Amino acid sequence: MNKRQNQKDDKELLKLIAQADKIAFSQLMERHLGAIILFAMRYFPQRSDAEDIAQETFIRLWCKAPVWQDKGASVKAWLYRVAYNQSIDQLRKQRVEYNPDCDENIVDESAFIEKLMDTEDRLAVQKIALAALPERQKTAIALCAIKGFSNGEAAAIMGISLDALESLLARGRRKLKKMYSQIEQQQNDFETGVINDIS
Amino acid sequence: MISLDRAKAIILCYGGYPQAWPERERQAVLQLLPDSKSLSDLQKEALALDKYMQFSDQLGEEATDWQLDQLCSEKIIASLPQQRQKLSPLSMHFINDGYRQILTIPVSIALVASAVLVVIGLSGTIRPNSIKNEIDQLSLSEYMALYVDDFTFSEREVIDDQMLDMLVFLEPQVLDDDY
Repeated sequence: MNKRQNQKDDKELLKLIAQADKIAFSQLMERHLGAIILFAMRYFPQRSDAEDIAQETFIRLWCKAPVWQDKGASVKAWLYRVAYNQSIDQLRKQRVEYNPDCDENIVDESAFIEKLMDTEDRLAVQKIALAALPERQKTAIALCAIKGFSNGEAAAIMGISLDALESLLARGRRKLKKMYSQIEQQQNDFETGVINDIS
Repeated sequence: MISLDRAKAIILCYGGYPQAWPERERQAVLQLLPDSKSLSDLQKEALALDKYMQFSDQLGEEATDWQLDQLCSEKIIASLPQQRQKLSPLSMHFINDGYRQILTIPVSIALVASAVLVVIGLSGTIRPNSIKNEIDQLSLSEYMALYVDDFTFSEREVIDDQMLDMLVFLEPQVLDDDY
C-alpha cells in the first residue's frame, strides 16, 4: 500500500474500488471494519454474527462501488445504514414477532440493573445499559452519542425524520437515566447500610 | 436564537456535551446556558449520565480488536464476488437525464394527448383489431351481406361459366348440389 493511497479520503478510495482495486478496498475496510463490527455487536452479542453483518456490508459496498453516485452522503454513513438494515433484518428473522420499538424486547430491566451493579468494568457499563433499550432507541444513541454522527446523518442512516430521531434519543436517555438513578439509589442504600453496620 | 424549551429538548436528546448537540443550534444553547439555572442544572444531570455511560466528548472513537478485525478483513477479501460492470455512458445518461425528462413532460400536454386518444377511440375512425379479425373469419357470402351494398344482377348482365365455376369454388352452398 503506497503512502499516497493512505492519504485518500473515503470517496477517492471508492472511485478506485469501482475499478476493482482491492488495495483501496482493504484500506477502506481498515478504516471502518472495526467500528462496523462493534456497531453490529450492539444487536448481536456474538462477534461472529456481527462479523457476518460486517462482511455482507462490505461486500455490498464492493458490488455497488461501480454504480455509486455521490449525492452528498458520506461513505461511512452509507456503511452504517447498510449494517443497520442488515442487523434489523437479521433480528426479524430470528424473532418472528420482532418489533424494534417494543419495550417487551427488554427481557428484564431489573436484571440489567443487577448486572450494572455487579460490573467493575467501566467499559462494560455502556454495553450492558444500552442492551436494555429497544433496538431503535439503542441505535439512535449509539450513532449520536458514541459514533459521533450528526443528527442529520443518524436520521438518514435509520431512515427516519429528525423529529423521530430526537424522540428516540429522548426516550432512550430517559430510560438510561431511570436505570442510572436506581443504581445510584441502591448504591447509596448499600453504603448507608454498611456505615450503619459499622457504627 | 432558539427558545429555552428547545434548548432543554436538545440536552434531553443529545446529552450534556456541547459537541454532541446539533451544530446549527450549539451556539444558541451555549448562549442560553449562563442565564438559565434550570438549563444548566439539566446539563449537569445529563453530563452525569454521559459520564456514567462512558459517552465521551471525543465522539467517534471506539477501541477495536485489531487482530480479529484483520482476520475478518482477510475473510471478506477472499469472498469478494466479481464486480458488476459499470453501465455504459449512454445508459447512465438515459437513467440520469432521459428518465427525468420523461417525467418532466408538462401535465397539460399529457392531459391533451389523453383527451385526443379518447376522442379518436370513440369516433371509430380507427378500427380495432377485433373487427379486422372478424372480417378475416367471414365467408364470402357473409362478407357480401354485411359490408357490400345490396347488389342484384342486372338482367342484361351475362354470367359466364367461368364466373359460376369460381362462385362454386368459393361458395359451394349458394348453388344446388347437382350443379
